[in-house]
Amino acid sequence: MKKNFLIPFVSILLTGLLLLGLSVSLNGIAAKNAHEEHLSIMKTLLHGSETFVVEEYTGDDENIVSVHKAENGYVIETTTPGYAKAITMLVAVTNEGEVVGLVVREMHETPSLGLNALNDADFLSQFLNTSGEAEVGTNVDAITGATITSKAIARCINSAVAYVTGADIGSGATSWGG
Amino acid sequence: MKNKTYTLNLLLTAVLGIVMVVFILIRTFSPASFLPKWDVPAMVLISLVALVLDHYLAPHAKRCYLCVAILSALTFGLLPFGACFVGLTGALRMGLMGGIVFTAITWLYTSAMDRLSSGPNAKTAPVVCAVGLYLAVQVMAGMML
Repeated sequence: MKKNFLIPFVSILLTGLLLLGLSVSLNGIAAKNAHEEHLSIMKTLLHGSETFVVEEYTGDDENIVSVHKAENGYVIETTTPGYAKAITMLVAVTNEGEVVGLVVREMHETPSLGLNALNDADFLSQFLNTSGEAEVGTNVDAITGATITSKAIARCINSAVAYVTGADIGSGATSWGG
Repeated sequence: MKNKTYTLNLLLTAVLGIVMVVFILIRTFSPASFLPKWDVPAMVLISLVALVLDHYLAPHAKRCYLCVAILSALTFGLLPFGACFVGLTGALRMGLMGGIVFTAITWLYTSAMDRLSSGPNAKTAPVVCAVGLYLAVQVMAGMML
């Protein structure tokens, strides 16, 4: 019986090592593809941009993860607590402070409710051409049954705009719910 | 006394290993894709695939449930850790959760199959039973989690 037990035990260890080897060997390709995909998305969000420079963010807004500056605007990665877990977005803002593109990059909200924000074009398109004043319940309609998720997304977008326009973090542009 | 076999755990390792390889390839070549959430229903699905295969390959195998629990905990913890999807803490949590889930599902499935494995529908009973169990877990997860 001990010999029988060793066979699956050893197979688990070997499989784990094989997976580790595969993961490590593909790491370089994965990083390159992830970078290219990220760049492609940023170019799509901010039309007319070709190159991006990473700008160091030293402000106090905890929603801002990273800032990528292009000739005609910024693509800002923001993250904020949603209903279940953090929601990560990429928001494209022109130099004049107008939102011209946005995409949800990561979320784990409730399926059929908050998770709809991933591809609800009607909801997301409300944020286009805003300049930091998006407020759920006032000028933005929430996703039905997902008010918290909707407000989290509004906060992500307003934070991105506030960075470009220089709005105070304590202002309504970055507070909960917009 | 018939020796206890560990075909089930070998199959679980194989199934989860294949899933991890697919995830690694998706992460490498399609980084924009959302990988499925790694939660209890996902663990149950993988467990049931292994159980169905085990039923066809090693029917009426005797089980040591303690060994099943230990090996499945090791499988669910080590393989995602090896594939670099979780850190050490995550691997421990997933291993513990996976061990409990797998052992519980194995017991439920085996109990059901002991009663269904005869008669004209015996060949399809494993698959139907697995589908029923998965749906039940989905409903429970939806209500409780």
